[in-house]
Amino acid sequence: MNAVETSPSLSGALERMDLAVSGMTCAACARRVERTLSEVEGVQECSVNFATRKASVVFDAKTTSVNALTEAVASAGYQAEVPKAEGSSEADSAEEKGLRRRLAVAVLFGLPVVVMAMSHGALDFPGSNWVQLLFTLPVIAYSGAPIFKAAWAALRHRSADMNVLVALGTGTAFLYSVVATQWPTLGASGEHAGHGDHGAALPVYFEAAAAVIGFVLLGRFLESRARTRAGDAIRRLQALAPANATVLRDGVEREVPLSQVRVGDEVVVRPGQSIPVDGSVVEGASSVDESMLTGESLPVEKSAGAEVFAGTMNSTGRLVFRAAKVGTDTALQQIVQVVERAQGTKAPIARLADVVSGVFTPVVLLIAIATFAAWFVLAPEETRLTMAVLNTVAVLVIACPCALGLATPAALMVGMGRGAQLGVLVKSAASLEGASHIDTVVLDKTGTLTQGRPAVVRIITSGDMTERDVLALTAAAESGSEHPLARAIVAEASARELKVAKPESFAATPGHGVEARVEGRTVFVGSRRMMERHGVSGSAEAERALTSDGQTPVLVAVDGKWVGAIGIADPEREEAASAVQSLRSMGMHVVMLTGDHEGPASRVARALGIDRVFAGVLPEGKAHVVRTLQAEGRKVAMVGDGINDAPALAQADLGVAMGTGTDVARDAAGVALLRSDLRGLPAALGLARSTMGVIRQNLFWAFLYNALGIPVAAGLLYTMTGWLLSPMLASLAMSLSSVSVLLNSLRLRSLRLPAAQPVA
Amino acid sequence: MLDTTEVMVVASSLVAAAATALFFFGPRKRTRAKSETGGAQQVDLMVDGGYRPDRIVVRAGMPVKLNVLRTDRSACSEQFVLGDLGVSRTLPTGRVVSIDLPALKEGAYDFTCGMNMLRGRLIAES
Ligand SMILES: [Cu+2]
Repeated sequence: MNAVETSPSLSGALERMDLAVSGMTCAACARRVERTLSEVEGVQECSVNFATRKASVVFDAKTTSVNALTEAVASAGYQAEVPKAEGSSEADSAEEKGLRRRLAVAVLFGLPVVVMAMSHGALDFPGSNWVQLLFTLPVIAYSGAPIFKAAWAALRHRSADMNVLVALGTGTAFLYSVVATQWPTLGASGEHAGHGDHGAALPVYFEAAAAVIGFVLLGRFLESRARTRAGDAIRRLQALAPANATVLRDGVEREVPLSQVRVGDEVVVRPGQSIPVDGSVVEGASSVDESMLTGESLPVEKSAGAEVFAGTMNSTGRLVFRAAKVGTDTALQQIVQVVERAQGTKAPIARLADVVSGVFTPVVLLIAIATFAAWFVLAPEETRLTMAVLNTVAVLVIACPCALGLATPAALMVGMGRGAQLGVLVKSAASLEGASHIDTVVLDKTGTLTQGRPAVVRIITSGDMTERDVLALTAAAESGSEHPLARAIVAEASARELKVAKPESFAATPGHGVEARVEGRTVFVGSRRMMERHGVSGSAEAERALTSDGQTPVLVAVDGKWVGAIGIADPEREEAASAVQSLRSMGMHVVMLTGDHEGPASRVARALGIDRVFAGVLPEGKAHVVRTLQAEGRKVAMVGDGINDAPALAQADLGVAMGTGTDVARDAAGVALLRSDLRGLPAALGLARSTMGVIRQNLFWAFLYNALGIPVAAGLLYTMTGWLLSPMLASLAMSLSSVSVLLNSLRLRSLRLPAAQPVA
Repeated sequence: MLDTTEVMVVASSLVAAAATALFFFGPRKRTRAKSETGGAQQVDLMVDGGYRPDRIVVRAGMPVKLNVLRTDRSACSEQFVLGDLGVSRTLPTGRVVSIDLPALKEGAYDFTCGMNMLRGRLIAES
């Protein structure tokens, strides 16, 4: 049922209640309970969770009561009651506990069987086979129960998984051993029954059955641990938003569950609390730590009008803000969704593995059947049944579709999660794979490499006045001007904490400059033409020095005499140089693209160490530049703002949107850097390379493992070396193979990407 | 020469192999989506060690709503992937996840688990 928009006066009486429901046997039951509850008058929202047997109901306490709810459920044929307090992840931990218990039973009863078998008859006594049978029984029936149950479920769907292979393998070993215990001379039956008693009793392999189940459970236990860690990054992101929020309704602070916060609510956050939903501040001032969301390490000051985001941490002051985005609309949830969706996408590299794993299990079953027949026919008569069974079981238990299936998703999950932590969002597995092949990076100058606004970068004086005095006088003269160059000068003066006098008079000549009276002195500020008009000379050399460096010169004269020149340019961003350097050390060809003239463009390129410059490119020409580079055989990544650059981003082999901040839904790019920091780019490319490297290792290992393991288990080496793989070893190898794929993927969790470290 | 037992074993192996292949790769039963008046076609899909039903026939050109319920806890089935349509969802055990699909063009759309081991097919027909 959908949430109903509630008026503020009514919402005050809304209550959320979890009911424990019993008597449900299937999903249809759950839906019936859900429908019943939502039809009760006053119920606003209702969902029934079949797994936890819980109904979560939001209702209006004025029109309905808990009793009415339980009665309604009872009338539908189920029972509902108010549950005792309990943890939410109970089911999961119960499952792990169960797994541990089953494992313990397998070890307790299986170990004696294995020891007896390994003793090669030294521990045998009359009836010892029966004792082994007795010990193996609980391992099969209790420890192995989930495996057999899951296998049955899969077979019912005419599909086959890991469990089918293990169940068939252990089942075969066990049943064979039971038969061998009851009829020990069966192997020499038929025409040669007479030879039966020269000690040719059939060997039993109870230890194989018990050990396989033990190893599979052990593998599953390790796997579930590793798997939990693989999803950690996203879970931790998701947990950033608090469970409850304090909202201001009718002037009263009320604590409500997060799901009840509506757009337009006023939300209160105290120092040390995390922000529950997205919104804009209406009252208060505080600094907010947004590092978890954007990777930005410095706290951001927030006051009235500023935007705040769910999951970020309010540190110093109390904030009141109006909720603008709630539920799955918040930036945090958007990020989580983008990553989750991306984790589920298919990487092109995994296509072969997908095809193989789709038919893997049935094919292994066919191989197992062939193995049985071949050994039965080819082995000497006395041992043919034993050999056939043993090798068939080995084939069944060594084959591991899981390693193959896990190879790509596990690495993607860890890699993309790690990326999200670093403020790098990869939109799909295909983009990640594309990113790993990039050799050329195209950067837009303005806003990416430079700050995008003019600033004072150099001051040259004639020697008559200090730099500071020149700047202070100029700033005073320009203080009334709205010109961007003037604003840059004033900003620089205030950044240097200079005392700037108020001009006594001020006159601007458009296109030339200003003339002002400051502290009784006449100040001219402007271009060379301005100086020439007033007969000021001597500035030519300084002017040339600035111009040749791509700066715009602002000349200053006091009382008719030139005193200095201020060079203004769009300065490089602090982190751009180190980002470009990281890219180059990765072997990238770094290309700059700009609409600017050659002069300023090459100044920036020189300062940053960029390989190649395309200057004077119109916005619509960007895609053309990308095509040009691609025609040279390069794999091009284009960095842009995601909106104006959409065609170029789409043309590139990889589009990277930078500084999307919390607006992650932009689509033209395959990778989004949350932070407006170019160092995210080498981080993203490095992450892609490492993740693809791990995927390649995983796939290689999983393929190789199965390609070698299955023939060896089938006994192919026997003809040459007399070597056979025991089912026990086969199952150990199988368990370790999927665990090793997971562990290899988990290495990405602690991936160090030096370029992604914050500014010192 | 093969003795009788060997001949029997080989023969039954061949039969077993054929049966196995037919069992896994043979034709499957198809289930038609329920059409609801005015809304999307509804499909109830159970996930417990496999997809039930695993051959779903829907009408092309009409939106589809998949109500997916996973009842098992195997790690495999946790992801639901409809690759051709760009759908990838996490299925919490025991909770119905509704997936809205747009009107489909005629054709077959495979869905799988995250590891590509469980498989089913959505068939859009006119
Ligand atoms: Cu699996």
